[in-house]
Amino acid sequence: MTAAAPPASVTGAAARGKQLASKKKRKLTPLQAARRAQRKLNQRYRGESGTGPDVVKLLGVHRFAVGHIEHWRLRNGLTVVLAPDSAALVIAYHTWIAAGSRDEGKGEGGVAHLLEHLMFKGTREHPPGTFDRLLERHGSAPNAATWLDYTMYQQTVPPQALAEVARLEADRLSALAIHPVGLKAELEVVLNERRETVDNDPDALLDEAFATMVYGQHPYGRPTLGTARSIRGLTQRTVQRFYERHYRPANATLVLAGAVESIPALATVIDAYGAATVTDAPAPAAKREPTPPVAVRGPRAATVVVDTASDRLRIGWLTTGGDHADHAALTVAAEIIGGSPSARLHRALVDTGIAADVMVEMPALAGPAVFEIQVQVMPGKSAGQARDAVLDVMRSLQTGQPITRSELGAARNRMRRRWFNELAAVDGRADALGHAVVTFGDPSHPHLWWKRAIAVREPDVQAAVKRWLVAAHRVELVGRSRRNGASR
Amino acid sequence: MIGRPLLLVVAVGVLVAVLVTPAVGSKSMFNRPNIVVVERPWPPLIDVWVQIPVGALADPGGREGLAHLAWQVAIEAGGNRNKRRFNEALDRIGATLDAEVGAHETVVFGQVPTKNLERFMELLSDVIRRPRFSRTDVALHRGLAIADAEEIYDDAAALAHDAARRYLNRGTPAGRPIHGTPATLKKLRASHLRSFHRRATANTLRFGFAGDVPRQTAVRLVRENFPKMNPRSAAGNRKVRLPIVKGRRLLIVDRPGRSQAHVVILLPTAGANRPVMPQLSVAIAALGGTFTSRLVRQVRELRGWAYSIDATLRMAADRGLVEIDWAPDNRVAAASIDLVMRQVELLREAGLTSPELAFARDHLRGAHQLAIETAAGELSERMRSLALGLTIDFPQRLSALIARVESNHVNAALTEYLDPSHAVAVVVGDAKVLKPSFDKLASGFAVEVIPYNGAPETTSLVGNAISRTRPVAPPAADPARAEPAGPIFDEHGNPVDPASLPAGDTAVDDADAVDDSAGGDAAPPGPDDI
Repeated sequence: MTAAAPPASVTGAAARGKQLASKKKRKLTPLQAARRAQRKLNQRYRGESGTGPDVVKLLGVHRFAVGHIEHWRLRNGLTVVLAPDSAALVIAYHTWIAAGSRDEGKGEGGVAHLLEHLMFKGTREHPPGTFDRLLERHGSAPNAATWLDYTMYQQTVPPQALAEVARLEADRLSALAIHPVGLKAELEVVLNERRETVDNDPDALLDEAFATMVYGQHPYGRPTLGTARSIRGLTQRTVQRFYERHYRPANATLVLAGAVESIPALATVIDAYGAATVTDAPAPAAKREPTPPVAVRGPRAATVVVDTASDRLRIGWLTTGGDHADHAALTVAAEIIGGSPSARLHRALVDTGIAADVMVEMPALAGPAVFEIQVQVMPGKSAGQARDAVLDVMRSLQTGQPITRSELGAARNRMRRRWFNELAAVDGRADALGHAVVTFGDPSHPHLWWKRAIAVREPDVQAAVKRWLVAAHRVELVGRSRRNGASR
Repeated sequence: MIGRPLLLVVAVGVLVAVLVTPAVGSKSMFNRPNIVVVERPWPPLIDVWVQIPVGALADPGGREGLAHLAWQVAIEAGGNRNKRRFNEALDRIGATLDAEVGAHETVVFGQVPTKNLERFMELLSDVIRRPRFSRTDVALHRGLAIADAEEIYDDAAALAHDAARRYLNRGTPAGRPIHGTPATLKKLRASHLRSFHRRATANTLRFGFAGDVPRQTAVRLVRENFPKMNPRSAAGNRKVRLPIVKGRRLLIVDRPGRSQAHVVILLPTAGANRPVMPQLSVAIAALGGTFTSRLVRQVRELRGWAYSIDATLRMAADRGLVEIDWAPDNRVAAASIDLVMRQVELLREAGLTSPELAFARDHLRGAHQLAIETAAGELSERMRSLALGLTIDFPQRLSALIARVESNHVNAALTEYLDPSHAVAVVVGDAKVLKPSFDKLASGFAVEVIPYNGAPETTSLVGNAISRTRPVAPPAADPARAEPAGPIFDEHGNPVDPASLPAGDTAVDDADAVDDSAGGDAAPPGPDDI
């Protein structure tokens, strides 16, 4: 006997309440939903027999500033990170390759960056220009970047373009066509890029010289663009070899942030990258050597003459990678001394008329990073005066003038605002996650790092400063202005 | 980090789809603020804009840089807080505050965590209503402004853009340097700044809020913190009749020792309130607004002559500009100018092909969807539209109109509003190297040279008259660089097999075909040929 339907008179509030309660009960946590997606996708791609290896594996679900993130690995070795946001109207689609200029060998200077350019030049299936044309039609502006530890490709598209982007990205990851004519023109483009962004920019030239001083023969000491000479020496064979070595699913991470749902998004990626048809074990990622240790036996100093309106000063301390426990404390230290017009360095240099501008950087690299102070000296003042003022501030940080709670609070507030601002657009989220995976192997790194940074206290900053920002790790480079009286 | 150059299509945002956020645009009433709100629940930040309808055009002659310096000092201290305490107060609430002075308007803008909006508005009110202008602060910022004015000489792109605006508008207040020169900045005193600021802020202000803020809260905060100010002392921009550009003239801003030139070409076009904005937007997007546009293909992809090149439609209330910008190697600088001008002429003569038109329409509509992804992006588009004297819904209307643009509309708009025979160009680079090749430009520019710290607005060379039907020789072909056949696309942007096209259908490569067919036989015209 079937249960009788309740009389019409009682199908009101009580019944609706019951229905709502049962719906609420069925709402899955992000982890449960991801496991369910894993089960369904593996069932779907195993086919009717229901046997065979899994196509997709859930590596983890993590909290993120905007909801949660899912960390997946496909059978072909491709890593996929999803950062769904039900309020988003667009999708950021990033491809991060764990190969940057640090992975270049002898005679390959600039090849990672040149290859980044050539990735837009067509494949066996798609002639040159097709990639850009198809994505620009959706309003997108496909772009890319190369840095020390990685190369990344990015576009933001409407949801209906997801399958097309995936197909195009999968195609160029496996079937890039490098034509001699296209290569020749692109070499000229890259040489022009170098002229525009380095050779005719005195500050950029100084940056290159400084990196060489700090890192010496370490891979981080080489310019990512390459030198004009090394660029001219790149051949089709060199580029092809680098491509074959590094551009493979097991060395790539896709990040999809915004208007994505796990099952359809993963199915699209699996289909596009042929992950379901892989029968062999995935080709292993190119073996990547950890960046070798580097030591500054300092302090070391040098002076060069530059074609600028005023003197320049770079002071840096060789510190640590972004996954070290001290990295967050050093970042907070950079913020305290240089993060705003009320910060210590600004008060000591800008408010006193010694400098027109001062900037502090503490990058997050896989290998050792430089805690760097850059000073644009006021015309009529000297880099020596700026140097004395900078070193006074650094000494005060270690001993004389303890960090106040208000300084620490202000630094935290600024960092928090900047962090949220970076994540406002889906592209910023994909950027943070892709960087975390290829640099630190963990998409939860930004969230964990942020928790560490918020927990940093005054003694942590001082301990990190005493450990890393010491004379033995210090390098100084003065750019003496030709126009500001190099005779001083 | 090394990346591809970013291409911008139009200066004011272009299009839109649906207005999904509540926005408030009150009718403009004298001395009553307008308030625009773009509300989104995440992230927990709010962007705040104050638009003041007075910019550098209000600077008196000989005191150029007054508006710029006044605002640089004003945002540093206000109310009962000196510079240090004011900046600490901003830090405590995690806020930023900055100001940008243009020719026609000034925008004071900042960003603050949602929970601290009330305190931020108090500080903003101090900057607008009770700035301090202490002598110490003025002296400090005058020194910084002078340092900035000298720094620009080392930034070829910034120098070229600044010089191009001044060269275009020479002989009028619109041609004066917005940020001043070391000489004019030295003359500015605290009393000048205070007086200017008081009169500028007596105007009707416009407020914009983007982010996690209900409109009622925004309206209340404006009312509480910005009571009526004295309208009798309001200062306005001086009325300027912009000079008419005649012929082609080119200014080399001499930076000895540079291996590369930075070129900016400006072509006057219609003001933003003309009904041809959709047609011009589409045409300029196809010319140089994407990585597959004509200019990028011709200059970068086929020849490798520059890292990037882009054409931008700069909307302005009185007169719009088509701005083309690239940085070629010295050896090909002259040839690239000829090539670019030829592409502009071809655009005007032959218009767009159907696939180009369809592609540009789709691209612009999609690009706008992406531009308004964040509340800050949407606010920026709306505020800039209002500043141009357009309605708050201009971006949506433009989008709808772009969808309906037809080929004949584009051609008619180009015929009437884009005349490449009248253009100014500025090239920052080594004059000794560049000048000999520039004297033989096939594109017929009259050429003059000033030092890098010279005043483009004081030049007087008359532009060369250019015949509209004059054939212009393309640069000599480089036999070593055979041009690969480019892809051909259908009207939806899908690649087409060239073999499937009927004879004579050149699709998107019309421009290339015309360019190449001209060959290198015709001698470049000298001044006597024109």
